[in-house]
Amino acid sequence: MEALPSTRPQVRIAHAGDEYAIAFEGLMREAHPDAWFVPLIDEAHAHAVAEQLAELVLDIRRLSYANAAAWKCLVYWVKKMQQDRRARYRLRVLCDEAHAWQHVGMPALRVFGGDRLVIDMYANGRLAQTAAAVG
Amino acid sequence: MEQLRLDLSIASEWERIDAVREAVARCVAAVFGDVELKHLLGMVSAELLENAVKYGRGPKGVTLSIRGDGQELVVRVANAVDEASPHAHLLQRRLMWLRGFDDPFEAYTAALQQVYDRTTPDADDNGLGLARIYYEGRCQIDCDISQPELVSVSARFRAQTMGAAAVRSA
Repeated sequence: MEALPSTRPQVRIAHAGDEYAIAFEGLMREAHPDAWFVPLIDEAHAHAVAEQLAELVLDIRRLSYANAAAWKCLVYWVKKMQQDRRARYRLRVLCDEAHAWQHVGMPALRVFGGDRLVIDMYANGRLAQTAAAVG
Repeated sequence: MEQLRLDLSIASEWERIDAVREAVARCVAAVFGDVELKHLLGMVSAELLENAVKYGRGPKGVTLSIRGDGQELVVRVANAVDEASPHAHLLQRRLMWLRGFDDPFEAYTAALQQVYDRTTPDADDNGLGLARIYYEGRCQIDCDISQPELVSVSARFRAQTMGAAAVRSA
């Protein structure tokens, strides 16, 4: 019998020098994603503060779906980035327009991110649009 | 005209929800051939089911039904609740709050603002899933608590309000 799909995405973290990127692949549809996602955010944020990074990257191009609970974690990240005066970094989110939840949902998140939140929208593997603060 | 009639009765288990989301999406794609609508109905089904599983009373399970054609589609999810549970009334209050916004985008950003104002992003429900259905799906959301110990929530799509996600087979 085929197993039900995992509700937690695969996570890859790549950091070298002044680059730090987190990539998700799969689904994010747990009841409490904050249990593991918030510590991940806290770690990335602390690293960015300690190293005075200019940018953190969150790559969700291979995240086919995320539930409302996952969006709450993204809001938490944006808030943490903005409220910590030591943090200088921008959060760059790489999205794929093939995933409707991303291109419909991201404009709402941008309301909170100001110019510190940059959304790169990819189409067919190529960067199609970059957007920062809602004007 | 194409019509979709889908009835599912599932165990009240979190792990089942994504299989249902995928099944709904495939059915919508098969009937209407619309990619946007496929994703939207999958999302709506999943968010309603999440609430039903979170707040429902386990053994009786959860039901999902979808009815509609090229002009209108209704997703309905029902679950049993304990008589003493405050969930039904909190749900009604949240829906009234959502209806206070003419613009679904404003409703959704207001719901996100409530999350923003919290100390932690704990997953206790503030109705963000319902706000998401209202904004992303442009759905009218209603709930029926007229039957004892049963909560039924419906999300209604109308082709003329769906914009890019309009049912194209109409």
